Amino acid sequence: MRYGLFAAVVGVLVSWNCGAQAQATLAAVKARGELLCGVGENFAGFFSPDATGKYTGFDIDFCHAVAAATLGDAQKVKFLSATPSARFPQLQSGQVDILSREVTDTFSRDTSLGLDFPIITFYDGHALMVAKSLGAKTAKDLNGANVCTQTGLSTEVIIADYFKSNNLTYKPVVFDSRDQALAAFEKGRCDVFSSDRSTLFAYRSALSNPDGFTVLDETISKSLNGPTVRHGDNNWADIVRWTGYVLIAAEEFGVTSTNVDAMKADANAPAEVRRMLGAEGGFGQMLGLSDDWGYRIIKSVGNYGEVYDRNIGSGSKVSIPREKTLNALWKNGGALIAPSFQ
Amino acid sequence: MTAQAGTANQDRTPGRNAVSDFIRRSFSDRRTGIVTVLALIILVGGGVPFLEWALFNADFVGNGPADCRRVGACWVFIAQKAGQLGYGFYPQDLRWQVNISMAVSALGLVGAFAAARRYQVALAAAVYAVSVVLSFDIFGGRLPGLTQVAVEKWGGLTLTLLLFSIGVGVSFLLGGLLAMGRRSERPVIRSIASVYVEFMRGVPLIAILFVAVILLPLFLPSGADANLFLRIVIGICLYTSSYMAEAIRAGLDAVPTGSREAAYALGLSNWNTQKLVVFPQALTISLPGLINTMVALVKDTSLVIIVGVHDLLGSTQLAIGDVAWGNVLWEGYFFAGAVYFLMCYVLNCVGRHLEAKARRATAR
Amino acid sequence: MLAHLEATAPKASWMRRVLARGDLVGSLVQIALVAALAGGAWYIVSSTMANLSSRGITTGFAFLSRPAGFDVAFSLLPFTSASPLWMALLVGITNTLFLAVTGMVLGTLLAFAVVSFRLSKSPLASGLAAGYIGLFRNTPILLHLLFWYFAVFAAMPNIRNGLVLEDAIFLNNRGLFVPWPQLSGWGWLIACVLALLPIAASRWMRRQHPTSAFARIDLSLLLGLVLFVAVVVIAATSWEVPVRAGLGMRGGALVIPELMAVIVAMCTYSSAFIAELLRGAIQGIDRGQTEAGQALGLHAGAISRLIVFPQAIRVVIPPLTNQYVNMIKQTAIVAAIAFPDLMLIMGKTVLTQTGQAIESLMIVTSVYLIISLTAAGLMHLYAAKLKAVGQR
Repeated sequence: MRYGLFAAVVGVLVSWNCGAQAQATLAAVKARGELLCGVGENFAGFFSPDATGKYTGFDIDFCHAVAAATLGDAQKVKFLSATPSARFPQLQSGQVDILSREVTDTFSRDTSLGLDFPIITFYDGHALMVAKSLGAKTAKDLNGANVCTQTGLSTEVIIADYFKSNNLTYKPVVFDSRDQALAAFEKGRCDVFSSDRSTLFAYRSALSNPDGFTVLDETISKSLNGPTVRHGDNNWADIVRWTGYVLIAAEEFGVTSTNVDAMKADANAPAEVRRMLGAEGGFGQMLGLSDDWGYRIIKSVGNYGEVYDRNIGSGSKVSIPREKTLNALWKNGGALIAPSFQ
Repeated sequence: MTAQAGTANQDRTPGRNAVSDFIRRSFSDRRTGIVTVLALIILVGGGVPFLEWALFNADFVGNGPADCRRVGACWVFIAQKAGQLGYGFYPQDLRWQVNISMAVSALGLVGAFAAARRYQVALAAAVYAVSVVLSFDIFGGRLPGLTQVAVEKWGGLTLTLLLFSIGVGVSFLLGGLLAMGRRSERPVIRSIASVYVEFMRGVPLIAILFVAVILLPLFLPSGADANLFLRIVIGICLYTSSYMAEAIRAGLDAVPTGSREAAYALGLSNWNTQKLVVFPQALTISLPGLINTMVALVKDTSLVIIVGVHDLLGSTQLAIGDVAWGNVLWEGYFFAGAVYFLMCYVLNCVGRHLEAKARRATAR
Repeated sequence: MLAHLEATAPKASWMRRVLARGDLVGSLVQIALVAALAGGAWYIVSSTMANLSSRGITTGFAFLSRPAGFDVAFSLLPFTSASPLWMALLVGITNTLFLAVTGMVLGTLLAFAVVSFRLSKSPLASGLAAGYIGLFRNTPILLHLLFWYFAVFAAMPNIRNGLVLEDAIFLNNRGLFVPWPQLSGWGWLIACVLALLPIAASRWMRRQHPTSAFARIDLSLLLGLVLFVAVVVIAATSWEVPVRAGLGMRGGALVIPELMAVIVAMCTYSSAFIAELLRGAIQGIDRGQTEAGQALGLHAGAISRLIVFPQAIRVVIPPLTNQYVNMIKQTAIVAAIAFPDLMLIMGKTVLTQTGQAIESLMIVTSVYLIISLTAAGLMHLYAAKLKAVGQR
């Protein structure tokens, strides 16, 4: 009896593991009929549930775009929560096909963790939020400060580097969750809260007295954020990368979710647009997708500008300025640029 | 507590003036007198401000933060946040699902217990297993006709209870197997069980939870539904089962060999001897240890907030973070503490009741 | 586990025991079980390793020699962001041990106070102590920790409005700042030696003159403490007084709020459990022993010190060992309030900074296991020694 049970447990364990064979991600997604997308904590603009419990946000839309490209239906996504500590193991082990939670690309992550960062979708940099009553005008005034951060993010290292290189002393106060860190900051446990600049404004607006706090002008790091996939599946990385490029290029060419049908039907549209939307060239097949993959992306989520405005830009509550930042198109002085569809 | 001591005193000396007796005992010698005075200082110094805060100056009725005068406790906060403390962020119109789930798991526990008392071990295990799976599915709204609710929205007291009701039975069954394994005559089985138990007892539950939450996905097939709640339950059960095993083993060790031999002499099979003779005796003996383990389990469930699940304590933590209410830390922690205390206290009472019953049964 | 068995019995006899334990089927089942377990473990390890390396994930413990890159808020060892990660691991281990030892010592001292109330003839004191014990035994320690941290120490006034005592001691939401003596290494050494002297003397006196005041462990501890403080005060060349500097304080010694919260929570919580153990042990001592002491004309203090206590200690050691091992594990909850112990540094910060999840958690669990097993082993040795003394 007990032997049988032991044997059963062992058997289940082994057979469970036999299923865990490496498989090409695209084939797995198609077979499953669903994209598994790892997303971050509730964070207005990037990832948050609306009143009906439906997730919306910048990161959410990127997964919708990938689902539209690969499965033909933007809604065939399952969003899984990926906390800072568990997110990489989740991706590495195949629990998710893609992490879309603004992971910052760094050398060690790219090279030693089995991760790939196919495309940068959001440029940012760390800034420092302080209480106005502190009287600090620049980061140089922060000698001896206590700094609240959330563990698991690059923030800890960025802060250490910055204070060290500026010969300033500080004490780190590290929290497990962002909410705890913010609560401790607001209660005065720390002088400084640090995070990406764009996100700091969102955090500040959630404090009980937003006007009592200010974000210093210095940007103390550069954060290049984007979706993350497993290392070694080049086809899948290509799909994710070119999904991003379609969003960017569509904005450059003026293709939007409303005019995409007309653009596709328009035989006089620029050749690049026609190739992107699958009207000619058969580009989709080169990725292992059907030819209208680009059309489906734009049809379901719109171009980069639309995604940005709807979630984090002027059309949203978060309202992160885009002009004159790196997140503008290259034509407007930003860093967003897509290779040609040739 | 003091009232209890007083009444106990009264019972012992009927007809005497309880007050004068109480005072005489309190100052019977120099040492006792000093201790009494110290206790009085602590009671008055701590108790009076506390009562003022918690009762006399407190606000009990109201609809929002404005209804609290902030001179004493703001119990309005607890009343207004009751839904969150009980159900987390579970959608309000779906909370009946949680209630049904709670009822199912309570019925399952009671049913399994009743079956076990009639020595129907297999039936008890089956009843319990069905009730656990059912209550888990109802909680998550996975059954047809129900609405699915994501794990991230589960929370509050009901989550604590769900964790407990799953953890207690699974780890009891696992612990029973391990205890038998540790007493097995076969050295291989014995050492496997021993190594497992000693390992689990040497590592903090938080470390186990981290392993379960972060590493378990690495060993699961890709795309498997690595439900956070399930991973946590696995971690808790693996951990608690080792303590259950030790409690049960102590009971098994204490069963006289004579009982076993008598059962064999009556021609009972090995399994029936275990089921009808050894286990009932062993469980009676190990009851205090088992109850202690269960109380520890109730308290340990609070650690899940470190891996991002908002049980009763986690929901309290979230609720007191609501800036609209200002500083309600003391109210929140006091309330959560009172609920935990109540749960553990009830468990202890049940345990004591069962113990007394068992003692009467053997005395008969 | 095989090694464990081999250590207790010669190999041949172990093999014989496995095979000669009666039935062949049972032996085969055992062999099959071992094979299945080993095979399963091998399969999991090898497939995971294959998975990891096929995706270019670095495995192994080489990452421990990389520089940490982050700072820690509390460390007993010198540590900067340039220190290697294995140094961070050491910091975590020392912090965990520091918490555990502080909690044990303070918790046990408090437990003595609680149990003296609990066993007092005064119904008021006894009831109060019973209430205290019941309160702590039936609520989670995490709740106490969060309460002490968020509702008490982190809720202190800020550095400008904090409590100041004589311009030397500061208590605010950054922690407790106290002056710190400037003392050479030799000074500290002499102070420690002198502090231990009365304790050693009391051991010797207990054998020679058990009723002498010098034989009392409590008095000798007190004397040791006084000597220690006296040496430090006399030998200190100067005292470094904390002063406001920038946004924080400079100089002196700092006890951060996280540490204060952990210590208060741990020692109050564990004192309830230890007090229950002590009560059980003391009440287990036969009343006749006390009466015999009274007949000899000993006063109450001497009876408890010379008769009850030594016997109670012997009874209480095994459960107390368990309690202490539990406390070592309990320290891990400080991860919830950002105190950098082993769990937070290795299981959170290093894990997430390096992404070496398997290795980091392997280190965390094995270090806890080693500490727990060592502590349990040492206590068992001590218990065995006490038992031997008792039988003499």
